[in-house]
Amino acid sequence: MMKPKYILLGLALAGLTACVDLNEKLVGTVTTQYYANGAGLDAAVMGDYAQQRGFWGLEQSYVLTELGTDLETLGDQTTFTWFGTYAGGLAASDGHFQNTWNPFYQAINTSNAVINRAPAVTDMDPVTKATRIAEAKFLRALDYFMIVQFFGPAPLSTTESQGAVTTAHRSPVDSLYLQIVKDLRDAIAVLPATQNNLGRATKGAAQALLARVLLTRAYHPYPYEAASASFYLASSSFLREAGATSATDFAGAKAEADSVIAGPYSLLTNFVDNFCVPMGARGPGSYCNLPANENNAELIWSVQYSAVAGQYTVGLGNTNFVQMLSYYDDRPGMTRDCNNGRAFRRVRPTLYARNLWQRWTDSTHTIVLDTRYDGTFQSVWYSNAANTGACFRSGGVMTGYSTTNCSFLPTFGGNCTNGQNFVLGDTAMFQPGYIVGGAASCTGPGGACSQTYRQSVKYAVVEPALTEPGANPTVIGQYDWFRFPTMKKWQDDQRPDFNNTDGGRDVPVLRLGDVYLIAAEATCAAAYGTAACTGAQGTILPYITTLRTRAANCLNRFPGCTAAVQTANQAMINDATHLPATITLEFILDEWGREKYGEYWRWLDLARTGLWHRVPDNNWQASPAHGGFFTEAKHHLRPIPQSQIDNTQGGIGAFPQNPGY
Amino acid sequence: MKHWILVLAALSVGANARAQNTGRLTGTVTAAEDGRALNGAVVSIVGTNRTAFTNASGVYLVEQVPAGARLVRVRFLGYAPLQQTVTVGADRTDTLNFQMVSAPVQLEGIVATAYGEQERREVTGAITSLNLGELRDVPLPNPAQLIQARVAGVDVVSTGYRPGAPMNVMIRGVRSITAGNQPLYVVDGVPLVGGGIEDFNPAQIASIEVLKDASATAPYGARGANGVILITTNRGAAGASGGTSSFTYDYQYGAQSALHFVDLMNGPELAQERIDAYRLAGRTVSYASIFNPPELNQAYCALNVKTNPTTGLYDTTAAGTSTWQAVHPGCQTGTDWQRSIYRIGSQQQHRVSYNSIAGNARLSLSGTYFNQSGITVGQGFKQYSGTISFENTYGRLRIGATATGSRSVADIGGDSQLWGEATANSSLGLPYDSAGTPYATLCSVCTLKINPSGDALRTNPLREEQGFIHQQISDRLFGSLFAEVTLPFGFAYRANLGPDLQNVSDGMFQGANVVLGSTPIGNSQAGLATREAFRYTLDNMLTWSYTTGEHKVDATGLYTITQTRFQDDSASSKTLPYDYQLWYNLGTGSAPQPPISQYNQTATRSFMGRVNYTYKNRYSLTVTGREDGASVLAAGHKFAFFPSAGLSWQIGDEQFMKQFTFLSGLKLRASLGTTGNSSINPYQTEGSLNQTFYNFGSSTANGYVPGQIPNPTLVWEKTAQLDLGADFGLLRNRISGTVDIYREKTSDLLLTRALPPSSGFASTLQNIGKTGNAGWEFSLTTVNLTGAGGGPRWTTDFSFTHNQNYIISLAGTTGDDLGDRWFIGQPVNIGLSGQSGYDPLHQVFYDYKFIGIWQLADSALARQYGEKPGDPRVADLNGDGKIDGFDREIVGNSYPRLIASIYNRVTWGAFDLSFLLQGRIGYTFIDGFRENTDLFDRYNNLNVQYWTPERCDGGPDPTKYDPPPGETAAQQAAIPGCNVWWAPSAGRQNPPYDDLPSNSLGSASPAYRVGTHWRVRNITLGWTLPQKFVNRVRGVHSARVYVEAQDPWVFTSYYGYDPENGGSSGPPSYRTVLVGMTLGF
Repeated sequence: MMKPKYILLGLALAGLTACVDLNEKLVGTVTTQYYANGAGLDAAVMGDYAQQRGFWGLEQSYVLTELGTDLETLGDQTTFTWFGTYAGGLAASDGHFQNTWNPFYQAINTSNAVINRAPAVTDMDPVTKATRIAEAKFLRALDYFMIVQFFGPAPLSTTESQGAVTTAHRSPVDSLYLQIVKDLRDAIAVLPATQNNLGRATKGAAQALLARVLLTRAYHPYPYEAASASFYLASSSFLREAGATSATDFAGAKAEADSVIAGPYSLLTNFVDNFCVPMGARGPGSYCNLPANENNAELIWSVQYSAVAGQYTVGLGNTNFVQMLSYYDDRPGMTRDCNNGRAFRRVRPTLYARNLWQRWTDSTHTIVLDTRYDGTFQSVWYSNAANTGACFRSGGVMTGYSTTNCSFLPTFGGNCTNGQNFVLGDTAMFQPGYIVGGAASCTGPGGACSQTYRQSVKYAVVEPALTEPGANPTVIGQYDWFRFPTMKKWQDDQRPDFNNTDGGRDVPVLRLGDVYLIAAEATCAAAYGTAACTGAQGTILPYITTLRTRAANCLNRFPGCTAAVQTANQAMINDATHLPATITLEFILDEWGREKYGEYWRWLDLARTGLWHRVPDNNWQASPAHGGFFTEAKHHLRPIPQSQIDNTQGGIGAFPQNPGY
Repeated sequence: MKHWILVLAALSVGANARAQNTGRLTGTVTAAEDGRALNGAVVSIVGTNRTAFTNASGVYLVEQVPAGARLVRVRFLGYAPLQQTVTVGADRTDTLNFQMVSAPVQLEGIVATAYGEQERREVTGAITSLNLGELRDVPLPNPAQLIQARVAGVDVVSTGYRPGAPMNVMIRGVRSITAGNQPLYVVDGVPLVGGGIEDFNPAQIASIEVLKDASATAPYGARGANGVILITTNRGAAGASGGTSSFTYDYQYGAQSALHFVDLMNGPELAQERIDAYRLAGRTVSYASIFNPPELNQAYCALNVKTNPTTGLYDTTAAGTSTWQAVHPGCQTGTDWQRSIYRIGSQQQHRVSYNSIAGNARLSLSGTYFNQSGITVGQGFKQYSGTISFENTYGRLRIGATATGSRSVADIGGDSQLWGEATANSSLGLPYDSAGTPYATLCSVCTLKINPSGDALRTNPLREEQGFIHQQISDRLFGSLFAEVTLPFGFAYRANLGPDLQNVSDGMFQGANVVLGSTPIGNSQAGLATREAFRYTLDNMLTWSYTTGEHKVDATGLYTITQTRFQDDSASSKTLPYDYQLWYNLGTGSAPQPPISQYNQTATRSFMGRVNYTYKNRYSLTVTGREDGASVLAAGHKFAFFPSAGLSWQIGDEQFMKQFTFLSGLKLRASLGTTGNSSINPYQTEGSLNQTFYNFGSSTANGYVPGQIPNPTLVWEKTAQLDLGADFGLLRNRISGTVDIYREKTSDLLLTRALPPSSGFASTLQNIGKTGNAGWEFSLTTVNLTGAGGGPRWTTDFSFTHNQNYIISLAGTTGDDLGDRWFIGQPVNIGLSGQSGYDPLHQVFYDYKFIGIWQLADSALARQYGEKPGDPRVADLNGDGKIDGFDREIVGNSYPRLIASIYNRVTWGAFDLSFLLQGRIGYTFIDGFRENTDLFDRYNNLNVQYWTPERCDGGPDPTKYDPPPGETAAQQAAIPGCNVWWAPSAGRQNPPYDDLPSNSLGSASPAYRVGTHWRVRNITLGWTLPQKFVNRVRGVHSARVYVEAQDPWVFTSYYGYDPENGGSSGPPSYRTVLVGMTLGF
């Protein structure tokens, strides 16, 4: 037998000499040392882009920019309804503000890290390095621009946070703008006109953003800023670069916009192609000639999204495709699918918005004037579910039907045998946005004409309510809280399943269409404050008519639209009836609405122009006259998130809240 | 097993070869009070390493006792130790019997301590020993339940009620905010670094000591701050017949049922509430718009409305001649989803154990099979575990090893999410589709619906039970090996090696159309995560014992290292081609997800020295110092020193105390010391970047952004603790007890400090702040009946725990941290509701003060606050005319004021009865159930009263509900039920679902509940069969049968499932009633 004492001796020696290393060796973790070389710096810039997804494409982006404006109000499934009504819940504790504030400041810190650390990076070619710095400045400018528009005075830092920073203070609005303009001018000087990677900032992107920034700054100071300058401004008057004034800002905005218009971008032939990804048709004007059209000639810069695993954080895809959709999946012949989307029913157009586009309101014309309505809203649903309902059942139990088709109702579909279940692909629902049969001949729900027409076409016809506010929005017409024009710009059928919210659609932040309107508005508002545009009407018009002419394009898109019809349409949309002789800022804001409905800018358009009266005038849920709580004195800014105040050393004393909150 | 015995025998022979002139000593050990045989008493020959245990008949046998006069000592927990001199003759068997007198465990006997054992009289620290002789009679599934409600100062709470759910154990409150508060478990001398005490079967545990104060825990230094639980597993014991081996078989079987269900709205109640809600929101026009199509006919039925006789559908215009109810009797109650996923559960356990002594060698083998089905359909827990323990002595050398292996298979299923689905599903929805009729009871071919109520976010719990499979398989291999050699001059050296391998394989499968939580997926997906942890501890210990005259010194020196290596990896895939593969063929999925893997390694290195000094067997002093180094801390700050000192005085033995004849023993203790907490994650000091995901067009553009701020100054969290205690016995120990008061201060708190987000970081981990604990513990044992003369013996244990936890200071000078709910003077809040890291048991509630519902009469005032009648109303505390963050106040906290327990045990002849009652008194909890499902019209609701405007009277009237703008009286009259269903709202307290809630401020405010509950933990009745019956069966030596009820009742005013773990929304807590038997062979 082995001698136990040797076993013991061995154990003792092993034990006493055993030693462990207490220094940590990093295996799966990366530290900021990585930023010291070129690959790391490149990764930081890519991270900087990725952080834009913290706002654009998430819930906070549409909630803060679209809901509760003159154009958009609540659907039946909105959970944060105070954004539509401006009720007490629109307060510092609402998470949407924190979810906006935090990502932008995280991105700013990343930009700062890139800009601060780049000089020490030696293994990168100088041109690439300069471009990356310029990209970081572009992003930092965008971040600060969004922050200052939503929140007013805000912390300003151009250096990376090293260690725990526990203090913060609100820098004046004008000093934020000075930094934004400076960053953009720096970026414009360096950025190339095109980049090898789609989605990287280009010179045009920086110019388009600068145009918008200057246009916005030109309106400053607002009366509320002038009234308490010490809170908002660095000095008693709004501070700009030496020699700059409100007028030069307007002129600068126009100059930058003109430069972009002259640049490598061009308007697409059809408005709808901007929002076209490979997907099924959704009604007149939806047919997509340009598959996979996210990166097109009109696009200047977008926040990139992807449906490819590993290119997005699970749970944080672009979720906004679901928000503005109307209820369809309970209709006969329909079930929820990817193509038609997961209808969250959170945002619906106001009556004002529905009437914004100039269209025929009766059946005597083949197409509508402004195709941007059909480029924005879906009008046809094709049956996607067998055995879920019989045709001819719209509007309740049918007792008979006529075979006479009305020429103005689309004649798609029709494999369904009368009274039997829909056949897949049949037209199941038609929601044209106007009263079928014409206002004159239609006496409302149950009226003889309308009922006959509906019966004739096998599918359900959903017609608009003609008035609002109303006791129940459903009383007239068939629109209500859950059935309304369904906003299809962000529809996304590339998701793995219909309930998945990790959308892969890019968020176009800047496109050429905007730049025309920026130019028009800058020309118009050159002397801000007058009712009508002060710029020469003749110099404003070309920007507007260019967009409107494009909006009248219908060739091969709408039934019956020939080249001749299109030409007539283009003339008509700009004639004296449809385009007023005197362009006003109000008209330009309408045009913004027609062009950019749902594109995450509307609240900022109102804030910029100060035309806040449009909210209570046009959005009855927000209007105090109808139980809403909108107050311009308070709601021209968003509240500072409570966590920023709570976590700042000194609390509310060191970091004051915006007035009224 | 045979093989092992042979090896042992061989080893024994080797040892025997050197023995000369030895004899055998045998005898019985019985209790003096009632003559009962004591099973498991330790008999040792002083000055040698000869020891033996008594068997179930109280018989012991010590072999190879050197001949001559020998001092024999016998010890048994709960009895005063005895010693007696006997002359042992060579080559013969001598007999020596002992009658032991019971003594309180806190006053007499041997107690396990950190790195050793000690005479209870000399202990200076606060250590509670559990009398496991009694505990063994009460079979429990989780080791933590052994100490639940039995030890003052320890709070053991379920983390949930699924089978196999771990327990949350806290000793003397919490100290740390972020570094964890679970105690350190030490199994057979090896610290269980990774926790997971539930991997050990309670039946394999021989004794438990709970170390509470600094004097007791300081030897564990940096890991001792949260208290230490020492667990000793079974070693061999002598055979039942006094022979060399024994064999025991234990079997139990039980049934389980839910303690409580929640009162949710049934069909008519939900239908009515929905109508009221829609009406209030100004949108009701027809049933068809209020109810989803699948609910519609159920709603007609529930409300007993008229239907069109031709179509069978509700029709306002038709002259209804029949009702849905008449056609479908019994349809009106709706579906009870809770009971649809509920079943009577079962539990069974088989255990075999074999114990053997051969010479100096002891061997113990045991194996356990445990199987619990649980009360939720689809859940279950199985555990297979085995322990082998061996010990032998070769001259001066003693070698031993214990190895425990276990495999636990937990079928978790949807768990609380499944119950959430069951409670949220509309009672108007039906579980099955069928041809022609919507009623499950009437259908012949039933298929499970996906969305029973037509709501796309609420899926069928019955379908999810089948489609959501979550199985966790945990394997654990834990060993403790030691070698100990006796050296000259009272020295001894011991080496200890404790390897610990843990492997968890966690598989999850979600079938198509399974929507649990809020992550609907629409197609099948599966994932498999594997976590492997390997840890080892290596101790080298030199001890010295020296006694001269009245002086006794024991000194210990220790050098110890630990190392942990952890890795985890997971893979998942979506859109699997076929379901039955579960997670076993992920490669076939058409949408594989990026794999994730993780690795970390930590190490510690420590030196410890301890001296115990006792003078006159009355005055004891313990001084301990430990130097700990850990890799997780910053360079230059890795080492820290943890000193402690303890004093005890057997004042009851002093001459001047003899006059107090009622006093049978009194010991005073005082201790002061520092311990630490190093439970932070590795690499926190380094700072890190977070990976981001992005793409440029179709090319991947993943980058790195600043993630964690580097913190090069992280140091140990240190807890200084002062403990004053007294152990006493009165009236010849008929009454005995322990009182401790203590005060703790934890400094250099590792704190996730919230930062202003404008810095780009939301938080960082820092050493900032201090917390304190102050409390007292009182435990009392009374012997109500002694059992003398063969009568009943009845003992009662009382224990009371009070702990006050408070924050002393926080980051810098800023005072309270509102973002994290940390307030000076208030207890520690750990995690925020709805976020990761949320700990429902350690919450401080800071919220708006709920003062009811805005009434119509207050419309104008409500409007000033941006609110309207029907909205919940919270107090404007600062009176500034708006409700904002400054109107919050501290509502309460979840820390109980007092924890009390009463344990009764009666033995009489062959019968034993025990009864354990526990109370947690004076805590606040957030009614998670109320918070989550309160009156939301799409889902089912608690069956509560709710606010409604008075009625729809059609005209503007300031005292009445103002209808939506423009609504005419005629339009109102056309609304179904107007002026029919609406009742005056007087006295109603809860708001109905409101389509346009004005805010979410204080949405949790109405959900705070004051909790106090009493719980019957268990009742056990056992009968030890008389020998004359037992002996009729060949080979059987002893038999006991028992009936036990675990958690049979909870007394509470809370209407939810259970208040204990913070009012969670399921699964419900349950009672177990089981029967069992133990056979000895």
